[in-house]
Amino acid sequence: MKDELLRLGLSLGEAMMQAGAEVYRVEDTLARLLQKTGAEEVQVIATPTGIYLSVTLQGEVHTAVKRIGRGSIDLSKVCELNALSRSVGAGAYPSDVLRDVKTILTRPPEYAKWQQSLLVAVAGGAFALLFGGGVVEAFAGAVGALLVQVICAGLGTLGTNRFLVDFAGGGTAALSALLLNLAISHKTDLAIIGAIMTLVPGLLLTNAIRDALSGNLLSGTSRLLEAFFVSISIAGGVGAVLSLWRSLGGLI
Amino acid sequence: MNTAYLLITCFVATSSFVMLFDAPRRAVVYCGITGTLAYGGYLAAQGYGLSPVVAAFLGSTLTGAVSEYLARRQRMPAIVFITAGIIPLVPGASAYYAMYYFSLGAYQQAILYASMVLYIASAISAGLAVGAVLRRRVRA
Repeated sequence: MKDELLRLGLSLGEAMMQAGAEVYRVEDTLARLLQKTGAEEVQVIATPTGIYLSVTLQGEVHTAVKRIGRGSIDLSKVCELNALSRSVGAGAYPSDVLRDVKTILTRPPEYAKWQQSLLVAVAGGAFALLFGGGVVEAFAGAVGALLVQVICAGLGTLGTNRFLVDFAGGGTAALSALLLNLAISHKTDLAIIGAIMTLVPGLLLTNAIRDALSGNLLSGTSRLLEAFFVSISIAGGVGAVLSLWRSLGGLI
Repeated sequence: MNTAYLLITCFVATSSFVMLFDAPRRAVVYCGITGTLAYGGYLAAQGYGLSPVVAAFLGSTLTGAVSEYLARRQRMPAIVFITAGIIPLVPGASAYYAMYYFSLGAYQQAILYASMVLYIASAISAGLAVGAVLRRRVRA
């Protein structure tokens, strides 16, 4: 019983944290769910990099710890896991709930690979338009965003460091716009901006603020720092390519 | 006409952006609406002559309020809508121009844009904070 409770708690906590939930949501969800499935008392500390969980069963305290690695953001999973914790009835068996959690986690992503590629191109193009571009800039932004996604996904599967991936993403955005400019003349700045907007750590910043406000200062500050470093990495990638291009005699 | 064009573009951009984060299908339209409202507020504030920083603050406060309302209505976590709302406010263009001027060696211009990025990002954070506090007031 205690093993199942702890296993359920840690799997659920890890999944929610990786999918991009705020700390208070993870902690609330775990406490609510584990109390429904038999724990007398639940103490949980969730951070972006690890989770500490204690449950009291018949007066005895059991504790487990789990290191959380990097996952991919998936808001559908956050929604579904959150809804699951509310729909489970009191007295449910932890192993049954764990099976439901596993079903949600193994479900295919909300959008297929090709849809994602289409979406990233649309987003890149639309951002280029939003910042004042025309049709050509939108096209260049779409191509750039698509290339950025391909490069970042490729580096991601190789297990490259997150900041290096974002640096490469920024560089790809700049390089693709500059190269495309040789063939089709356009305003490279707008195309680059459109492409890098798809990399912006918006969810990370949101979560950082919400964590800090809800009193989870540890993850608030660490997420804020991460968002800062991610932004610097993207900008650094763009800047490196721009400087290199200029020093090789290219026009921007 | 120009504003309508910008708002429609914004709707497309934000809704496709949240889909990259695997936002649930039934939330996507609301995400687009949140983003469009936030950007509309941002544009309106700038139209009244307010600085981009104040405009971003108002836009993200609006995002916070709308997102909390939608979260309760749709029974979904508010972050789904907030992520969509702040995206059009994010100072991507300023960040680019900062790097552009750095690469030119025009450090004064570069610092100008870089500090703009910091100010706007802080304004967005502050707006979200206000939105969250308002919500707690309402709930308590």
